[in-house]
Amino acid sequence: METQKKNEQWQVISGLLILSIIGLFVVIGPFLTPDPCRQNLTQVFTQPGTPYLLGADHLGRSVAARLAGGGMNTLSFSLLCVAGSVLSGVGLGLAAAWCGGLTDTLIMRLVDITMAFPGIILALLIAGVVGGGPVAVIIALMLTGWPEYCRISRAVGLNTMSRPYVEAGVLAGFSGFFILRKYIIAEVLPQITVLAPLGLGRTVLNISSLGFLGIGLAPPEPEWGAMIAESLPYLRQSPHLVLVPATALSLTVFAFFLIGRPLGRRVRK
Amino acid sequence: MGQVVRSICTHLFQGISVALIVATLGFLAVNLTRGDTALDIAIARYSEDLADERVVELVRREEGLDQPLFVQYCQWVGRILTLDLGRSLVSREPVTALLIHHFHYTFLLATAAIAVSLLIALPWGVLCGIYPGGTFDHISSMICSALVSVPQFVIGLLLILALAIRLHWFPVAGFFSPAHLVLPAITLGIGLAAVSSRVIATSLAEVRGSLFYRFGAMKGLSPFRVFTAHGIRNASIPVVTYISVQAAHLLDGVVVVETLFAWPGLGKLLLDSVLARDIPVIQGACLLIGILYVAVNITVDLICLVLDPRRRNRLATS
Repeated sequence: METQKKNEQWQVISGLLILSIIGLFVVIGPFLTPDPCRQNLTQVFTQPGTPYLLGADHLGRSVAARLAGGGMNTLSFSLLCVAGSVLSGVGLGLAAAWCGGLTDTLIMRLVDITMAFPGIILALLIAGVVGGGPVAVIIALMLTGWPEYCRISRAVGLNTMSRPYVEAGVLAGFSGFFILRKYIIAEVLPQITVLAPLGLGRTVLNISSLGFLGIGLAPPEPEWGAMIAESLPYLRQSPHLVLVPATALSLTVFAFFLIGRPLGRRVRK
Repeated sequence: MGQVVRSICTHLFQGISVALIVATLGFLAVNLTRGDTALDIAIARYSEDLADERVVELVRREEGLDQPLFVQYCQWVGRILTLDLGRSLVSREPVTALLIHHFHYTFLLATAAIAVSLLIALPWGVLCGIYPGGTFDHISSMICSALVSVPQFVIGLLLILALAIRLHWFPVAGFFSPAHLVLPAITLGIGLAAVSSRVIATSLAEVRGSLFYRFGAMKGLSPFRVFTAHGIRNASIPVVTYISVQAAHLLDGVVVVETLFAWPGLGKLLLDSVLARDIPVIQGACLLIGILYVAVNITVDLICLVLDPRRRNRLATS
């Protein structure tokens, strides 16, 4: 048991390390590299080295700059999606637990309906109906993300509400809002926070897959999945154009999973 | 109500709501975004010169477009529920025919992917499950979480780079021969195998640690006999339950992998119609995928019922 605990700590630490390196690159990168959308047609397909650190793509744009800018887009969209689904999931889950009865049934049926669509399919459906673009993608991924948080916060909320100290709070005359805030949300939030890294990893995967499919940000803007799709025709001559963003993407997701797995296991116990 | 019956009812409810929601979104998309539908139909039928106001009004009455929106909506949903999905706006082909044609390819790909994943996951999972917590188990667990973190299109790209471009073993993309099926099937199968081998390993380890399993060994059964009599069936229950999660993974992956390898399945049809905003086809494809997913879930419930007599008894007594 002791070795397993150490093993898990080691995983979380290395995950955090990878993430902070990527985060640093994404935040500082744009200041050190040229504009990710500026084309320099004399430098098309330059190999890594000078003048561009990671070479240039088929339009002579700096790969390093696009990697940093794309990371910014991919990561900030993922954060937005997960924040949105956590907020709506916890809100609806607590509402279901607190109100019970018809509200509970309705919300849980809504969860069932959402779970009937695989994530990317739902995103495609929404993008097809309202048109593509980042807003459609973010809304779609929020819609697929919330049921998980809703289920857990409802379960934890119900469990907490049956505890004697909540009953004591009611007897002491505290308002419902106070009990919800001080007793129940305080119990639900840690459990949800711990699930966030796994959710982030999955969202990064989904966003980049949608970017790869050409749904999401409009073309000149960089995005990791879209960068890979753009460089696909040149896979034979300059594979590094594909491999660089692919590595960054996989490392990020791997780091989120490294942090998320041990934390998630702790929730289940 | 028994757990399984409740689960099946949930899935049936899901199926009906999927159909309703997809139909509603399709109806909204047609009515909110496009101009005058009657004018479009009139132009398509009688050419632009002849489609004057009188003709458009006639078409409007004929097609029921002068009815209140709510009546139109009910008719629309009714048509969907009777599987009349209309025609593609791009190719003018009936959507049902398109779906059947492309489903054939997706079915081939999915079957091949599942076969690949079983070929990898079964031996791997069993090996890990026999010595849980051992070095081999630890290393495989790390490999699996690494594999899960790599997006499917990246796995596909690496396979193309290594096996198609460098070694010329398989064609890069297309759908003309069985060889074209190999790379997409491996791409999808690897992702599935990474997770399901872990599920197999944990459930096997759990069963082997249980009291009934140890009792079987204690009363003198050979290790092989205990495994076949008590191990396989019990360990397979979580594995079968997990298929429903895998189905979601597979359906998501199909879109990406089919696009990457230019495989003309449902996923590629869906993506192409999204990019062309071909609403009837989007609607049909989403409907089919949603229903497929629900159908897989119901089948999984039924298989669990067959595998696990404890659930059947609970069903009888409750």
